[in-house]
Order: sequence, then C-alpha cells, then structure tokens
Amino acid sequence: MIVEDNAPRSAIAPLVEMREVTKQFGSLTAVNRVDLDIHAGEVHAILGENGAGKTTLMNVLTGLLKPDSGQIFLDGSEISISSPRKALELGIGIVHQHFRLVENFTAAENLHLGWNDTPRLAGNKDLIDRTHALAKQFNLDVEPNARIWQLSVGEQQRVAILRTLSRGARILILDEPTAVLTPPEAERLFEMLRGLAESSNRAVIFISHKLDEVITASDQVTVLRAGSRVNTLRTVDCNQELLAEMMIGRHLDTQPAPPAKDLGPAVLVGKRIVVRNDRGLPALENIDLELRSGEIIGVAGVAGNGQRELSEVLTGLRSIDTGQIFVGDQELTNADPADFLRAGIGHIPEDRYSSGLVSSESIEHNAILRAFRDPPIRRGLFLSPADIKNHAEQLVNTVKIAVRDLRSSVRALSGGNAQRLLTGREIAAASKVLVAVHPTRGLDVGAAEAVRQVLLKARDSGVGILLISEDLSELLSLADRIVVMFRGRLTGEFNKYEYDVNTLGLLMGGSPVEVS
Amino acid sequence: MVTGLAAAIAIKLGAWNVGVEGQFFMGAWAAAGIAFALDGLSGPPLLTLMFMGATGAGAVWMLIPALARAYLNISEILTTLMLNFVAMAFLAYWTTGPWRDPRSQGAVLATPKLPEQTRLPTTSIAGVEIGFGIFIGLVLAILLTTIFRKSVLGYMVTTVGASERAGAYAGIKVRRLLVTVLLASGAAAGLAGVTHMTGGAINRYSTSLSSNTGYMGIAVAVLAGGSFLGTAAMALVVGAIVAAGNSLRILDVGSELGRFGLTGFILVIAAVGEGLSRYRLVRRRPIDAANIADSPPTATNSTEDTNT
Repeated sequence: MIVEDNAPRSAIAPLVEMREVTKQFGSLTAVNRVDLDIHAGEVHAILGENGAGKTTLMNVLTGLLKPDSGQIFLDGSEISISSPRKALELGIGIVHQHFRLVENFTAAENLHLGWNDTPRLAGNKDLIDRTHALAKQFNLDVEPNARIWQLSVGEQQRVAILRTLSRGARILILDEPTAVLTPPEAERLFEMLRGLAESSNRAVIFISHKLDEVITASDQVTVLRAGSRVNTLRTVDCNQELLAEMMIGRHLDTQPAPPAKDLGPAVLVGKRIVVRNDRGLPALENIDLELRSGEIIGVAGVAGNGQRELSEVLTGLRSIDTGQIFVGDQELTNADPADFLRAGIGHIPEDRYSSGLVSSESIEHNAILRAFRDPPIRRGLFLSPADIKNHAEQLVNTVKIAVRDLRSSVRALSGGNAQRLLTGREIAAASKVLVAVHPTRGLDVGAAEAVRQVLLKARDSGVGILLISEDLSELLSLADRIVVMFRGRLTGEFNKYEYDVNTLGLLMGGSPVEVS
Repeated sequence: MVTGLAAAIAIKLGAWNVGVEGQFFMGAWAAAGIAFALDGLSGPPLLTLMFMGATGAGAVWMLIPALARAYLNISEILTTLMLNFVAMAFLAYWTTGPWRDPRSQGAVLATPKLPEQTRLPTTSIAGVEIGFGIFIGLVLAILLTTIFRKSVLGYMVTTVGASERAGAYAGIKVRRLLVTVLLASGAAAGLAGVTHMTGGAINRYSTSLSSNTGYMGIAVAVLAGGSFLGTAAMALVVGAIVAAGNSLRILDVGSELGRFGLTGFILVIAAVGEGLSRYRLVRRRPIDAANIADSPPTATNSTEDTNT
C-alpha cells in the first residue's frame, strides 16, 4: 500500500504546531525533526513502539525537556515552553501514566492542591462545591468527597483529568492512558475524551501503542518510529494492518540468524500457569510453555502484558497461583530463586541496575552474585578474596570489556559494558535455561550485536533461551519460534521463516487474527 | 560505643533499630537477674553467664519487631521505639518490686549493688581511667568489620542493603537475613547493657544506667555513616566529651552545658555539615539567556504545598 504524506488538514490554522523538533540524549536522537499539527476539536493519537520517541516528544511539548532545535507555535505565534508550569499557563496540560495524586486526600482536596485559583480560606464545603461545579462544567463524573485510595484507577484518572482541565488546559495530553485501565474503563475514557474535544473545542492528544484503541478513539494519528515521524493520517483512512506496518517498519537490517540445529529434550516446561498481579488482576492466564534445549523462543508483545510476571515466575522470583513448572525432569513449582539457580537457570532481568546488578557495589561483588555460595569462592563461612578476583578477571576477559579496576563500582561502567558483564555472568550460570528480558534495550548497535552473538552461541551449545523483547526485528532475527503475549495470554505461535510481520503486529496490538 | 555498633548493624541492611535503649535495659535486666540468682559463683563464670544472658535478652526484645518487619512489613522504627517504653516500665516493676533496694529512699528506681565479683576491671593509661567496655567495643568493632567484609553473611548483607530486589534475584532469603541481622543488632544492644552495668560507675540495674546511651548510639552510628570502625572512633570522641562534662561538673563549671549542650552542639554541627557536604559552593553569575536555557526543568506540581 502506498502512503502519501498529505494528510488532509482542516482549513483552520492548527492550535499547536511543532516544526522540525529534535531532541538528543548524548549520541541517541530520541526525536528527529518531527512535525506535528494539532487542531482544536480533534483527538490525536501518537502511535509508536516503546522507544519510538512518543513520550520525549510530549515532554518537549509540556516543557519538561527543552528541544535541541525546532519551533513550537501556539495559535500561530512562536512560543518557548520553559517549564511544565509555563506550559499549563499556555494551556498545555498533561495527565501522566501515574496520576500524581495524594492518596489520603479527597478528590476535592487534590483538585485544589497547589492551585492559585483556590480561595485562600476555603473550607471543605467550598472545595466540594467548586469541585461539583467543575465536574459539571467538563461533564466528568467525579465524587468530590471520596479519598483517592478509595477510588478505582479509572476514577482516579478522571480526577487527574479534571485537575488538568480546570487549570485551563486547552490541549490535554494523556500518556498511555489505558495502560492501567480495564477494557470497559478504557472505553468510557475514550467516550469522554471524544465528548470533550467536540463540545469544548479543545484538543486531546493521547500516546498509545495499541492499534485497536487508536482506530476506535482518534480522529488523526501520527506514527513515530525510531524518533522520526512516519506519517500523519486521518484515522478513517487507516486500518490496523497499515498502522502496524508503519509502526514496526518492514525492512530488517540484519539477516535472520541460522536456525537451531539439534533440538534436545525439553529443559523448561510451564503447565497452565495462572498468576495474579499485585492488584489482584490476572497477570498470566493459563500459560503453557515448552522450551527445548538448543532453541530460542521469542516472546513478542508490548510491555505490561505479563512479560515481567512470566520472567519472574520462571526464575522463582514470583510464586504462582496454580500450574506447574519443571526444569528438566525436576519440579520447581514455587521453589526459591536459589533452587532455580541451582537447577541451571540464568536470568537477565528487565531492571538490570536494581536487580541484575548491585550498581553501588564493585565489579568483583557483582561478578560473584551467582557464584558466591559455591567453592572455591566460598570457604566455609568466609569468601576467598583471591578466588573472587580470579572469577571476576575471568568474567571480564570472557565478555571482553576493558576495566581498569575490578573494585570500581559497576555504576561507572557504560550501559553496554554493564549489560555485557551481566549477560556473561548469566550465561555462565545458565547450564540449562536462560531467561533474557530486553537484553539489548538501551544499547547502541554494536553492543546490542555483541549481546545477540553471545545468546546465539549459548543456544548452539545447548542452552534453551526464552527471549522476551519488544524489539520485533530482534525476535525475527534470533528466535526459532515466536509466541505473542497479550493481556496475560499467549495469543499466537510461529515457527522460524513462517513469521508474518503484519500478523505479529496485529496480535501484539490485541487484534483478533485467525492463525492458520 | 557498643550501642553505636548495635545501631550500625541494622543500618548496614537499611533498617533502623531505634530500640537500642530498650534492648540495652533488657540486657542489663537479664544480667542482673543472673548475678542475683547465682551470686555464689566466682567472677569469670558468673560474668560469662551474665554476658550470654544479656545478649540473649537483647535479641529476644528485638524478636517481635524483627518478625513483624520481615513478614508483615511493619516498620521496625515504630515497634522498636515503642518497646523502649515497655522496657522502662519493666524496669520500674523489678526495681520497685522483686529487686527493690531496701536501703534506697525516695523514688530512685534501682536494685541493690551487684555482687562485687561481677565488676569488670579498669586500667589506667597516662592517668586516664579506661573502662573495660572500651575493649569490648573495639573487639566487637573489629569482629563485625571482618564479618562484614570477608564473610558470606557480610556479602549477603551488603547486597540486600544495596538493593532488596538484587538480593532476592541472587537467591538470598531476604526475610530470614533481615531477622538475623535485626536480632544481632538487638543482641549487641543487650551486650551494651551488661557492659555498662558491670564496667561503669553504676553497678546496678537502674534507670540511671543509661543517660540516653541507646539514642546516642544511633546518632553516633549515623554520623559514622554506618561504618563499624568509624562508629567506634566516633563513640570515643562523644564519650570523651560527655566524660569531660562530668569532670567539669565536679569542678563546678557549667555542668549540664558540658554534658548535653556541648554534645548536642557537636552532633548538630556534624549532622548539618554532613548535609551541606553534598552541595558545592558556586559563585552566582548574572542571569543571562544561556543560563536560563541550561536551567533544569522545574518540578511538577507534586511538590507544591497545600492550600487546604
């Protein structure tokens, strides 16, 4: 399908224009010469994968980040947005994913907190009356007297939206508003946003990576990929396939790695795993998984669909409600992390600086994080300094990173080197299975490639690897099988060379697809 | 000094034992009880039993806060602090009831003097009287430093202290470790109690045994940044100031000023200095455009104060 970049624009001048906006973080260009027109009365979706630059772009618009170059116009005149406060004065307000409300205060109190329009000596009744009036004005259903912790997430979100609107936001930005909502709550939110845009001539921008909600809820959609704008389209002209293709990008830089040669026996088996998350909602529903020696299973999906829980369950960090887990022929259902480790499971976690590595401690300390229980490093009750040094030296040499002092803290290493250290350590620990979560996220091309090569080498030596990644091209290149995760379920399974990027994109976005 | 070490043990794991004072008195209680019950024994075996009893009692006094923190996630700061008051009520019961000193008049809460053989020896270096407690403190500080730096336990404490998630990831049983370390902290506080009672001037189980030694220990440990050897050194300095205050009082020079005023003053200066050391002095330049451009974004409204 040919896509032309001449999205129909209304004759009226846009409310906000961003022209050639660029923002760099060090060598990474997070937002690259992006244009964006937002018109009054429209709901505008910003669509892209994680790391595509959506949030950075919105942070520029709300004054949290200063662009390196580019211009921003409001009502046709150029503006400089120095701070979020300034942005709100100009009428640009954002509702973050986390609402920043005071849990123990009532909705009315939260609404008036730190607001210049709050009457000086307002009593509780004044605040409640004002809140009622504002809720009515914006047609939002908010219970002024309820304390925030008593409200559902959807209700809390309405308080946060009302707070932003009542402070004069003409452009309301929502950062992944449905990430924390149940589907009915999401539906209700979008109805409300639509009403708001149409009736009051405000503009609503929402950030999303879910195709279905973009199609149902927006008038215009801007697709970002790797920091650049791919296109801006009228939503009525789009379908999910088109958007998925634009969001993910068709071309792949790397040739797929050669497929696995000899598949061994099953090394990690999960049977009907059910887990509830901390809010009591289902995080994993009936997951069945069989990982065999010498293969890489890729788990595709947008973050927050249960990948974190899956990786924690398979390494013993989270207990399961029902189901079974086997490593080899040993049952490890609800065993300790130490038992999983002993059984030969390595783990490259998502939050590498707070759980995979102890960033305030030395390279030596981190090198033995998996091996400190075993001789020769452990000598009775004590640790042998000489053997610690040996172990750390070996690891540093294996992963080929230049280190001046093994006692310097891991924090001083570059992101790429820290990840190499972690990867090397975990592969050494992973005699049977490696659970790798976003192993190349945030790394530059060279470092990412190095990590990928190490994974392939481990696979060829007989380790079974579960690769959880949001980077579809990485999965396409490395994985021997791909499963898609959506809302706690595995929704599709593909063998190597049988992938269809569009189908994958649709499944990741939650569209029902008939898999042959 | 030993109370400082007790607090420092908990700090290593990022926990706060505010109940050092209470565990201190419970340690003293257990030791006094053993001394009264077995006063026929000679010094060394009796002292050994007293020290064992005191560490045990300190640990037991920490048991509830430790388990509550590890398994119910109840703040150990509150529970340990509140148990201090319980320990003082406990002391009031024993010193007015079963162990009341028949010779005492008025409202002094104290037992009779302990048997003479339980007094720890003192030495004198260059005319300065040195209590035996200092040696116990120094030995303990060195022992703890060694355990912390060289042992498997120390490695696990460092890891969990830096990041609980990393500890769980490394397969460390975080809850069990938390209980162990808190109990050790309580045991050390109990040890401090018996050391003060047998090595100091007040040779009885009494309210005057501690002049806020437990709380002072926490302050000392914080000032030393949780380091064991630093705590020991810091405790010597603070101890010297307090002792000097006592001497000044004997010489009839501003008594309370030396004891509390001076100590408090130094602690405040040190604490403020600690905080200020994180800042850097910069000369204010005239505000220009470039400066504004570089200024960090202001905080969002989460930090604004309340009007309600």
